[in-house]
Amino acid sequence: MTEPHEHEMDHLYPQLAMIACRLQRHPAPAAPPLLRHRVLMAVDDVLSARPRASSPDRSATIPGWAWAIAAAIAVMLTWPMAMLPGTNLLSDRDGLRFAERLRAAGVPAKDLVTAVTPTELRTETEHDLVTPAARSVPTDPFARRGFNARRLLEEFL
Amino acid sequence: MATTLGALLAAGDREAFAALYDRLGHRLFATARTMLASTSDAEDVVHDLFVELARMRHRLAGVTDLDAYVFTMLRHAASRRLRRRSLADRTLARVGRDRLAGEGFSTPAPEPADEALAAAVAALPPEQREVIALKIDGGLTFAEIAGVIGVSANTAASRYRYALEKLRAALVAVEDR
Repeated sequence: MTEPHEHEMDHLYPQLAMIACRLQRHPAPAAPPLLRHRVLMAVDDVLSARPRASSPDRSATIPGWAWAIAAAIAVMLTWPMAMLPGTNLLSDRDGLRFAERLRAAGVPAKDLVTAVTPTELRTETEHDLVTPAARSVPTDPFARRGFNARRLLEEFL
Repeated sequence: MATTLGALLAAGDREAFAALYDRLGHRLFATARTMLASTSDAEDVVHDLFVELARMRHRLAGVTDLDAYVFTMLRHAASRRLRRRSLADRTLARVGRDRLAGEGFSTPAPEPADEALAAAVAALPPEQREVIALKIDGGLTFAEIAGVIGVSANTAASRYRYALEKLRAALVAVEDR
């Protein structure tokens, strides 16, 4: 594949090409040797997980309308639950771990409460606790239904 | 080669995942580190990327350009990490970044060989830094970068040039001090 841009850079922007050369000389950080082990262990865990081989067979024998009804029932059952205080947000374990990380970093307690707002809390992994959000922080985040961070922080602090 | 590897990955072949790591792991890590300016975040992103590859391995059989596919996943993962980190950075900035060295929250951990350059790269806007990362650390061509980030090759080349211009200006400023 032709790459006119590659050569264009070298010829039209010699001063910039010097910077590019300097970047290329800059030693690329080597991946830590343990990372390979860590990655392959994690991959192995995923590959070793019990395959969900029965799902396709089951779906093949149960008609589509039955799945649709089951899905509708599941939504009806879980949606009101999600509206209850203290649900659908952050697990206690993840919340405490997140707060612990912030406090270990020296964040004062008052800032911890400010930092952990509803829009930053999700039900996923620790890495997903902080979202870009800050987008729509309510005036009084603790007044919002379903917000359980205050309890988490009070327990932790 | 890539298609064969993709088929093996799709079949859940552990050796294929090891081969993929051995082929791309270093470039992926280096690219992520430049994008994120954080060694620990780069490690996490590469780790999570391979876990995700293992989880959705059945889709890999149909991938025609495995390298581009993996780098695209890396780019998305790094972007998500950057967005998530921005809130933590804003909060932690209040207590002083010097207290947070080594916590994985703060930015640059410059290589001693060229601290000024590393700092200048870390200060680039994310969209320019990712092109530098994919080009220099990932070893991708502009056409490949274009595919990874979803822009034209001209745009990728322009971002690269803008980045170099900014780096040059930053380095001149440092050297003039």
